[in-house]
Amino acid sequence: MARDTASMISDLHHFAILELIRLKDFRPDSRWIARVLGISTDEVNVVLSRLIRLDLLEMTEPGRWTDKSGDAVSSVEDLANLAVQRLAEQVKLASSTSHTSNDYRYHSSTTVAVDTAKIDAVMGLFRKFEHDLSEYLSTVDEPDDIYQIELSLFPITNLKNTREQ
Amino acid sequence: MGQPVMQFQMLAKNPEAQAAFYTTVFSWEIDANNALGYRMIKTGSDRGINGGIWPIQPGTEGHSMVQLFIEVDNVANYVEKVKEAGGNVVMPPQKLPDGDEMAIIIDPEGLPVGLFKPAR
Repeated sequence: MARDTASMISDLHHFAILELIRLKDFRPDSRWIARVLGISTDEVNVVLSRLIRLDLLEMTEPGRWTDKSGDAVSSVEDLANLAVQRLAEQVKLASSTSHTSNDYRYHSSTTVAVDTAKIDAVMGLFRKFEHDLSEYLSTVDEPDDIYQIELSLFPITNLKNTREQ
Repeated sequence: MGQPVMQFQMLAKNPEAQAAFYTTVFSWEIDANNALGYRMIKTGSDRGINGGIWPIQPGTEGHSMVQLFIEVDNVANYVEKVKEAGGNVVMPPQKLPDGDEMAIIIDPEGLPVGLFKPAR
């Protein structure tokens, strides 16, 4: 179970599949999921097995899968500290974070189903947040360290292309 | 009717290579044209049982193995019997896209065994 959990939090595809299930045009078909996520059917099935073992997914009827994870956002945050080292390696920050206590760093990652019509508005919220944060930090008289702040928002599926084909 | 062993399943780190090996050597047929992309094995004989191949993740999910699948008339009931008899449940009853119902249990020896009820 520990290995399942570690694998799950270090692989966004687990959360991506749980989010796909919430889409109205979701198809309970590993081949479709593989096409949408751009991975192999075997990779999808490994993830499905793990999600079921962790009681995060249930195949309740032949054509219906149920996401049992509840609020995926809180699930990610609860598990985020365990994934910090892996995430740090991925963004090449391992050397700067490996000796840093949790009091001085913050990682948050959310995989969520979205209405793409809202993306422009979300970008606006990001820009406003960046502006507000920059203003707040600039009020410091004597900076004593340098931090990296990153905000990312991007699709992790091929759904748009799949629909257009 | 009884509860017969009706299927075997190979858990493979490289399922594509595993399928290629058995089709080459034993002329088994593989059919993955189903919703899960499950590699169903037909041995080509009326005797014995057929099977399938399911992927496991190299490095994190133990070693490759063969599981047996026991056909039962009620998967949930047999899962309860397993627990009462000292076994554990790895995968609770699931209804697969093709209508089959299955669960994976661990027997007291630690062997994973599948329970399934075919869709008919």
